[in-house]
Amino acid sequence: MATINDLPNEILLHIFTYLRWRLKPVSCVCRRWDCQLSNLQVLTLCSGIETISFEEHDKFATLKTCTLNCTMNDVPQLPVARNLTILKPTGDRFYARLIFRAPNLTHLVVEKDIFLNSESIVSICTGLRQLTDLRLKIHPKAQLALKAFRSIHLLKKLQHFYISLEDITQQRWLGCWFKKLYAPSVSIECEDFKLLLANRRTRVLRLKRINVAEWHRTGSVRRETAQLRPDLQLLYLDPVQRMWF
Amino acid sequence: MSTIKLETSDGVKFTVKTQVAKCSGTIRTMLEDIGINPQDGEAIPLSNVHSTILQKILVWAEHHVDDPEPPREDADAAKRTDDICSWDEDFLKVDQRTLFDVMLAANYLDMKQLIAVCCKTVANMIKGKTADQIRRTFNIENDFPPGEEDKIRLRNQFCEERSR
Repeated sequence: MATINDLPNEILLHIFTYLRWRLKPVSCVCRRWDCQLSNLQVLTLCSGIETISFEEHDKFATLKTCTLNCTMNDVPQLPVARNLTILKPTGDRFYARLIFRAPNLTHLVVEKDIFLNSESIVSICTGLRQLTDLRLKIHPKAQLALKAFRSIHLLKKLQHFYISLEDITQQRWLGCWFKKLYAPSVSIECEDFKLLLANRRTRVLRLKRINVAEWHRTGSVRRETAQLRPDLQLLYLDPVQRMWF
Repeated sequence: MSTIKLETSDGVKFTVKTQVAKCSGTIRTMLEDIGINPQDGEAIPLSNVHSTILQKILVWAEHHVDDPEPPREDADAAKRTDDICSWDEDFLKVDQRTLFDVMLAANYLDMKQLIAVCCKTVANMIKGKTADQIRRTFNIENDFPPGEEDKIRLRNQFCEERSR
């Protein structure tokens, strides 16, 4: 008859991934559990209403996928992390440190973090050139400068790009900027879809909130798109903001 | 209605609806890839599963046979443990040895949904407990040499102490 320590490592790790933040007691149970925890590859850090304060030496040596669903002032060392999702406000100069503490990220999702400003985006794009998936939901109060958008052109390995930014269509440079974007798959909220068809690299385009939810217009959008870009492989039209990414 | 025979480690044979048996990835592979033909009347040997445990697992599979394919797990999504359905909760109200035997068998049979619900159940048994309480709950021996536990506690201090 089996006991918990007869479970194979992968199941033990599976259990630990459900424990989220409260891992410390688990690491102190026995040598095997401590050893397995050091092999944890997926973790969601979640502290409810509390703020988690990290320091530079805090390290998750094996984490490959990390979701930070907590308010925090800093980022721990994530030397092998590939996927990072940030769902709560971070802190001042957080992203300038992130690029050194999680230098191997390929997928980054940031949702409405007031600290994600122009400087942060420039830091991300200059420090994490290997990013293949970048999804940014910009905080309504954040004012992004053109340099932030230009820095996204540095990401030459980008495959998927999402941005949600109020008034993006009002930016006069949008069409020109979009034309230079490397990502073949783009999700964007933009009323003037023709601007976005000018980028011949784009193969998959998801347009959100077309003309502020004029769903009846999608037929004509599709027709016009087909004329302008017959090579476009997929065109998604989301009339309202039903999903984030 | 097509059925197949399964033979457990203690030699007990079960006749099971093919659809139910296919909840197991291992059995599905045996049928589809290896080419075991259930029509031959040959029983599929499950050498790592005892009859008492298979019987229990079949009850679970029978109940969940029509469940839709679960969405591909999103690695970024928060892992919840409060979404166990009440039927599964009742099903897993068993002694620990049975629970872990079910988990081992589900792992051997490659039944991801059953493994997930078992892992959530065990995670719920761990949550909120101190290391000592966890040891007592699962009858785990503290095999740290003197002083080692304190070092680990110190090393992982940021996991809790600073979370306020």
